[in-house]
Amino acid sequence: MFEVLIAPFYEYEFMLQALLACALVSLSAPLLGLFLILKKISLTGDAISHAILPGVAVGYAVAGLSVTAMTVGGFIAGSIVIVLSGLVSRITRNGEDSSLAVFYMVSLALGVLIISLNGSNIDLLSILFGSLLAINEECLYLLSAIAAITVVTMTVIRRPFLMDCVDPDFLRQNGINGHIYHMIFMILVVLNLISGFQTIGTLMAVGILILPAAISRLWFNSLLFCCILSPLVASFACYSGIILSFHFNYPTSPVIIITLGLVYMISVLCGTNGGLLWKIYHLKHLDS
Amino acid sequence: MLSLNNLTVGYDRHPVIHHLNMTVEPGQMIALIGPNGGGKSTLLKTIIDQVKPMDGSITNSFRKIGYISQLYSTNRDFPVSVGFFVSSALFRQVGLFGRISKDAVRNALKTVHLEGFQNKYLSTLSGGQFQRVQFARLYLQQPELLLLDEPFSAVDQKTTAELIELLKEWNSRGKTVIAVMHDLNLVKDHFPYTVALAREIVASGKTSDILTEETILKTFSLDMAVNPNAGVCQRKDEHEHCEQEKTEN
Repeated sequence: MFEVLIAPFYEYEFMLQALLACALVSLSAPLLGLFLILKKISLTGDAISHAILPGVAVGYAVAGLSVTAMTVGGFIAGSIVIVLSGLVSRITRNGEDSSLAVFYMVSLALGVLIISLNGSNIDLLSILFGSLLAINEECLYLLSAIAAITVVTMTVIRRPFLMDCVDPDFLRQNGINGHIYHMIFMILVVLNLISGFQTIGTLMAVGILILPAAISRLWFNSLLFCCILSPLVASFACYSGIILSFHFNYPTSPVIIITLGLVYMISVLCGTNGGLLWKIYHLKHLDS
Repeated sequence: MLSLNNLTVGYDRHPVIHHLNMTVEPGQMIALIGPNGGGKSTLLKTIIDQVKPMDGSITNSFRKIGYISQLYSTNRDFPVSVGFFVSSALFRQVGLFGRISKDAVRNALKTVHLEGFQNKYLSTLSGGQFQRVQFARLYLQQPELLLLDEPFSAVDQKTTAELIELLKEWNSRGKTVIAVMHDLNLVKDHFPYTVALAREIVASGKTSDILTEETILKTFSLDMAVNPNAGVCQRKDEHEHCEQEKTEN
């Protein structure tokens, strides 16, 4: 058992680095996913994750597979889309949903085109689906910084940020501009999607934000408990993904997301906060 | 003192309130009545600066304004506790890190008869309980002027009676109250002053003088919905919308 589940991380440095990278992403990304879900803007997260691609692609075109160049490119592109989608939703009122879908398909197409023009299909695959088992030290530093910034910032702004989610009018009327905190949050989302792209690739990056958060919501209503459970779930899924891809040569990111999908299904059935069995049990209880 | 001078407010350049002049003295308790679409909520939102006037001005010397919006404008499904919600009254004061006194929150909840509710989630509250929580937050905020938008429209009689008593007590201690009201019996029994608003002030003054059959009929019989065909207000100096509406009527 030890041989199969733990030994690989002793024997191979790249395995340990992959695990560390995942743990760092799992620490902060699900926290943001939780609020994307609660604010009912998961689709925005999805759109931003794809919008990062053309930026990453430009970074790649300029400097090859350099962590810094791709991160800077992705960050700029992601920020542009936040501002644009904000503007479009304000101008057209109800158009946010459709405009985001447009943004995200166009960005995806643009990104794939730029990468294809400048490099090989292998590079394209590694950007779209990540290359967790080939993470380098530079990337680990980046992931640590993003995780630390996210956790610290969210702790600092928690009061006005939460209130902006519940009752933005009240904040505004008290002379606190809630919009600023929303923007800070969205910038953190961009940063974490960049972390996600470095580990599991742009196509599935948003999965590491949303899925663990959705799972935790099925077990707890308390924000605190969700903030504790969702990183644990994400870490567990990442560990499973890494170990399975090591032993069976499966691609890592899809296994991570599928693991999360399975846990989600189990939670839908058994979750204590709105799970199916729980509801049925309570119905019976009332009937008898 | 709060005074509105020739105030015209609208959305998308279509005016909802026309050339309103009104003065609120400290210590008054005023009911704002009128038909749906008559501009009552818009007026309150203009006073708290959420909606910008198209014309005219507001001068305000009240130090702090407390506002309770209509029930549905808060996202009550969001999993935060009653205690957190009430304590938000102090966010401006204590900043990001300052300590919020649990006793103060507990005490605020006690004034609205919700002792021990601080750890409950907002989503578990009934409409009436939530309205009590909003009053608790108002209590903690200690404003000089209270603006309430239909505070009793989804609330049972017992809660209404208790909250009105609370309002009257605050009023007797010098707070000024303006409340949008639909229940004219409540207005008659508890509010000394009334303003009847139907895009413009139809009548204002002592409640006993205002709540006559004639005034009520006049206030509520006007076609108050925003007329989509009304003229667009293009220039500040020429009030074309007024002219056009007169001809349409």
